[in-house]
Amino acid sequence: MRRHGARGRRSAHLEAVVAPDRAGKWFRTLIGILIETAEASDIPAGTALYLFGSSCWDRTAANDIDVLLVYPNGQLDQANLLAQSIRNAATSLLFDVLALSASEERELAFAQTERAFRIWSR
Amino acid sequence: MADFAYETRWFADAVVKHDAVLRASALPNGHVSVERKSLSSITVAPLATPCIDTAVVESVLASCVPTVILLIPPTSHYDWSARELAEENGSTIHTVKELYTFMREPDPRRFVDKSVRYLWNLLETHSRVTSIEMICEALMLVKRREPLSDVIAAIEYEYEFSEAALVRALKHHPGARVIINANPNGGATDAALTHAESAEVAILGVSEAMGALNLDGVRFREYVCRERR
Repeated sequence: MRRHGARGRRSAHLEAVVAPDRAGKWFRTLIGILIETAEASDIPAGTALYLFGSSCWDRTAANDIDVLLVYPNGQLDQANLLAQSIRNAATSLLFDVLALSASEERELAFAQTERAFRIWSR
Repeated sequence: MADFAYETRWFADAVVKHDAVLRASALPNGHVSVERKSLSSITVAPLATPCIDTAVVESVLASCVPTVILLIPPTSHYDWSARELAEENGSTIHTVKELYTFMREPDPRRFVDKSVRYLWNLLETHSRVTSIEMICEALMLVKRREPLSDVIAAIEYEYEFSEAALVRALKHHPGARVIINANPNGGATDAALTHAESAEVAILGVSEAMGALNLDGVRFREYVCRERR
């Protein structure tokens, strides 16, 4: 099973190389909102945000945007706070956040199965 | 005095971004007129409150009858009795998700969240179930034939039921004894199941819920359907 989660990076940064079909203004805006929200949080190192689901491929496919939050084991409260901040981040976007601990992500290999792409990590 | 505040400006700014909406304008009484593309306009009373109960509905209806009374905060609830009262008076109550989902319906009032409606219909067909009584927008009392006890079930829709999702669900529905994941492809992680066991709550998928309803007590809570054994 492929491992996901912390990769030893220390600084927060945009990780996604946005493909041409994801390069629209709308997509850059929502990635910007997610990064800004994550940066403002106290979430510890070893956390990553991913986008997945139909909204990645077709803006008109869904009204909500699926976000995967992978957090270090034992940081459930911090993860729930960040997840809630993301859900409340924008009035015009409905963020649907799935929060998984690193162990749960290893158990499910969710990012790999859903072809999620990482947009941020700390 | 009912405890609520109108979120008129917030909602008017947000709803115009919905594909089916042409324009939205704030009304003096705090409601919002929503002009829809190729459909009749509706009026919405967007509320911020921990819970919309019958007192809140009476207060809203005293000024004007909106098409929809809208519950804004996702962590809040509306009492089912409040929704029934609103419907008796020509209105209804929706969550934001319900309104957005059914915005393209000519009359969105009678619609209920798709996951809730699906489970409601399905559970009613179970041979051990005598009736379903809705408590709030996503919490239902499942009444069963004796000697089986009644069950309070919360309906959620998650890709996968993680521990974080369970903590969130328990906070949102503290009275629930079973949480049913309406996503037929969604499972539960080991951490979520361990946490659920200590909280004496069951996390069940749809097919598991149908099997577990034949059982009671610990056997109900720990029911695992054949494919997961």
